[in-house]
Amino acid sequence: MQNTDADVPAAAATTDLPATLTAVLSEHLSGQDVGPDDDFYALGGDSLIALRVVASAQQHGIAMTLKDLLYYPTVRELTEYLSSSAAGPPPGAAQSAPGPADGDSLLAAGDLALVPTGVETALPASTLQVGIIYLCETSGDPELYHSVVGWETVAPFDEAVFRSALGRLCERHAALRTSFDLGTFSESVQLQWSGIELPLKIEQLPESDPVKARELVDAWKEHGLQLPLDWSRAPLFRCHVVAQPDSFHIAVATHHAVIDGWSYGRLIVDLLELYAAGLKDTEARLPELPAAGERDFIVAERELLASAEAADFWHQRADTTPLLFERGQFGGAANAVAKTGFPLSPEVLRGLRNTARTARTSLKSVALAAHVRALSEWTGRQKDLVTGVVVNTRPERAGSDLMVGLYLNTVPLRFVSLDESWADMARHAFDLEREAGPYRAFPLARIESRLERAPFDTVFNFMDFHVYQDLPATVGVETRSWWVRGKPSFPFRVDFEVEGTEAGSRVVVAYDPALLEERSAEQYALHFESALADAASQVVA
Amino acid sequence: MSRGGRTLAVVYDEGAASAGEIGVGLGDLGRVVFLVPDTPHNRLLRPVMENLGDVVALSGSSREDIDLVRKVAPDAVLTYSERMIRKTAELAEAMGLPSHSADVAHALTDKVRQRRILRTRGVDEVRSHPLRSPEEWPTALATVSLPAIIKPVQGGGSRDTYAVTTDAEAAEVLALLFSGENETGSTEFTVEELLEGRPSLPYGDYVSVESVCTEQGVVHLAVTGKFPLMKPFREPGRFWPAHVPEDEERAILDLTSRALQALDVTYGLTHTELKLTASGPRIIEINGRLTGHMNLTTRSTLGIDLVRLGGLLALGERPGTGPLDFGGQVHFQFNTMAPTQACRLERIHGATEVRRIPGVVGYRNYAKPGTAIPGGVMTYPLDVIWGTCDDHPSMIEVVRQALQALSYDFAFPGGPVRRITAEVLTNAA
Repeated sequence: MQNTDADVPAAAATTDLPATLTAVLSEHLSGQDVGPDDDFYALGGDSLIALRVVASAQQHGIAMTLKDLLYYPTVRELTEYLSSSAAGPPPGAAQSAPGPADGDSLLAAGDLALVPTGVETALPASTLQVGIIYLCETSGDPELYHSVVGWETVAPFDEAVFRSALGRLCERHAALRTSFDLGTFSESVQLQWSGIELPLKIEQLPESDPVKARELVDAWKEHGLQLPLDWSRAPLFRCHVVAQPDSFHIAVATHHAVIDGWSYGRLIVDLLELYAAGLKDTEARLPELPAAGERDFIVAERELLASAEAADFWHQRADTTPLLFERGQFGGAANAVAKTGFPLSPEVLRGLRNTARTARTSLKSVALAAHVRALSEWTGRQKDLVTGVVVNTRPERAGSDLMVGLYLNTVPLRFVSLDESWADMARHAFDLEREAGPYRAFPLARIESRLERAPFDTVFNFMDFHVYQDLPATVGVETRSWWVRGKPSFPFRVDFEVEGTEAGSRVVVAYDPALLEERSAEQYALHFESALADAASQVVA
Repeated sequence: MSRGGRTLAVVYDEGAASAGEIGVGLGDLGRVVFLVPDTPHNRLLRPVMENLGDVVALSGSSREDIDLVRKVAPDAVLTYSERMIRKTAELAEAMGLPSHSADVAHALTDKVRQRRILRTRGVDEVRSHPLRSPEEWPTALATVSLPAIIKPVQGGGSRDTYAVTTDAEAAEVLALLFSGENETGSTEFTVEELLEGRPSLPYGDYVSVESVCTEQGVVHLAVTGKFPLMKPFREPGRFWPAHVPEDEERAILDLTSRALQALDVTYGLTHTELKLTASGPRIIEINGRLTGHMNLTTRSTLGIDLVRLGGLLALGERPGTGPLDFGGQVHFQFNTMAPTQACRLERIHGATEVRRIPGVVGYRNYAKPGTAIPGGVMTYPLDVIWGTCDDHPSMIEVVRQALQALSYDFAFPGGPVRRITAEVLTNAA
């Protein structure tokens, strides 16, 4: 059954929707005969099986969601619904027949022969990965795209258990065993090694000394950031522990080409879960990862790269007069070392949430609308303004939140009209992001090369740390004293941080002092602060 | 699909409605946010919930959880899980949204308190006594007398519930319950007079009543009939309508109304269990939530989604509801119970045959091959068979045929794999 399915090209699948749905359902219901009016539940289906059915259907090019299957549990109802709904394909869903399951086969035959022994899987590197590595190389800045996260774990430190937990973590997440080769093969390749030497440094304090511990952590924080990670050698992370009798500090430094900021939470939970289980000498219960997650991402990216529609979409979104910098004034990696900003008071946040709620949109969209309004006031641009926005590019499938890797992108969003009400602006921001959904993983570098300049001069990054903060509590090991350091390459970046671990809710504006004067960046911050206050005080009709 | 941009926060854990049913049932009422404590069930179902709504982890601390819910800013806070009733009441109350009050939630989940209220308000005089240690047994015994039933103060699903008829049996049960290794982890129990059922075979000697409570009063949706209990208190199945004479049904509904009024329940769906005794119905217990399982039947055969109904009540709406209309037919659900000895499920035989039996609408196995069965006398359903028949006798016949057609292979420790029919598993009691 499975082989037959895999051979069905998408075009055929969608022209014979009932047959494909029947085959997919049957495959996941132990090969039973599935009639057009047989109920999915009555045949033994449940919601976890439903997730697998939906993933298979999407691989066959059928744009359906879990909700669709649960609402329309028979082939007949589902076919009628899917045929009548104008819904496009889900973002990230493969549009053509899936290739063979073997990840290596994404590489050309000649390249396959060059894969070194000890490599478990070799895949093409994503365009974003290559872009980041390229910028790191050309900037000569060891801190660029290099992040460190740290925290204190309130539990006794057992070295053997910790080593074993870290080892298991590396087994689980291929990103921790990945290196890059940009020269040997006919394209840039990421190599996932079957084993790596654990890059772990432990400093033991004989007795509890919080001050000393903190000093050691701070020293490593600086050192950890500056010590380059060589992208050609796995692993692209290192881990440092300062242990006291009743607690220990952990710091993990990683290369952004393998792990994005949103993957940190997952990595840390998995590590703590493994460690906590190890202490109790039980098996950690980690949820199953989607098979071939990274491979699917690469396949989806290739499809997007081949799509003229996606390229046109982004070109149109970015093709207007630049906001801050002249063509050629800025290229490659900027050095955004200067910072300004302001705290976000609980009142303002509450007001913004209210506005979002009444406007039926998200806090992110309201904040983005305020950012755009502030840009307009700051630069005097009355209409047609583009800003970069950081978006999540994880494939829409079960368990993609569990994946650790680089699944972020920064894309241009274009606001033509800037004098709308807050509610309209926020809804507009929301709609722009939603329209971009199917194309959101399109590599920024491609947009830039067609445009022959950076597609945006400013970047807006919305970060809600709340879930991130809650995650460690779920495993039953207490953690505290969190911090994060990192440095991306944009010349003017606005971080809207909700409930950050270090400083609460705040706005951080990071900019390159070689490109922007301090006074100018501060003016933007003032505009943004008053735009937020204004948006927060709105009673939306 | 969402209407008016409303948000429904569902405090979710294993319970009367699955994550999938909740996603479907509430989908057209608004955005669903699952508020989840960290439990193995929630870890397993998280991907499903993420596909149906947003998922927010609860910390367990009241203050933090209330802060969390404030951020979600929901238009309704509700639950379908017995374990989450108090938490839900606390969160909904903090948000000023419709729900059980904290006091009512307490009375609905604390069986000692529930009995005391029913007794002092003259609704039902079942003798009971709290039991927090084996040393309290003589006092409890003096109040209640044998035969008695011992069950946890909080909890559902008949777990850790035992009938004792002799002192020796009591000693054995007390040793088990206070060993620290009982199934619910309970430390507080209640001893109650064992209600003796009237003769009722081939049906069970107890029923439940599904009701909708609002400030305007109580509306009963249905009296649910039951298949006979398996020992000690495992419920193998249920059916609509119940097989009771009209005057007994009136007494059942009247007692339920009085009990709900006595507990001041003015909100939401309730599930009240009653024993049918020679001297009339008696309250077993009242649960402040949707009944388990039956939404599958109402949704597929009656076109009524009880999960959605719960959502409307939590939104403060007053859906026009009356007794369910079964269209002159009998609808049933039956669960094959797992063996009480620990084993591993190897294979399932006869699923296709069962589905072909006229009268059977569906068969769904909960336990997949490879599942480790923990053993014990806790309610552990292997599957659910559901169907629709013309009358009660034909339902009994359809269930008999289904149980004969269905069998399971189990690997017992140190022994060979044994095939056991569902009929044998059901009669094992």
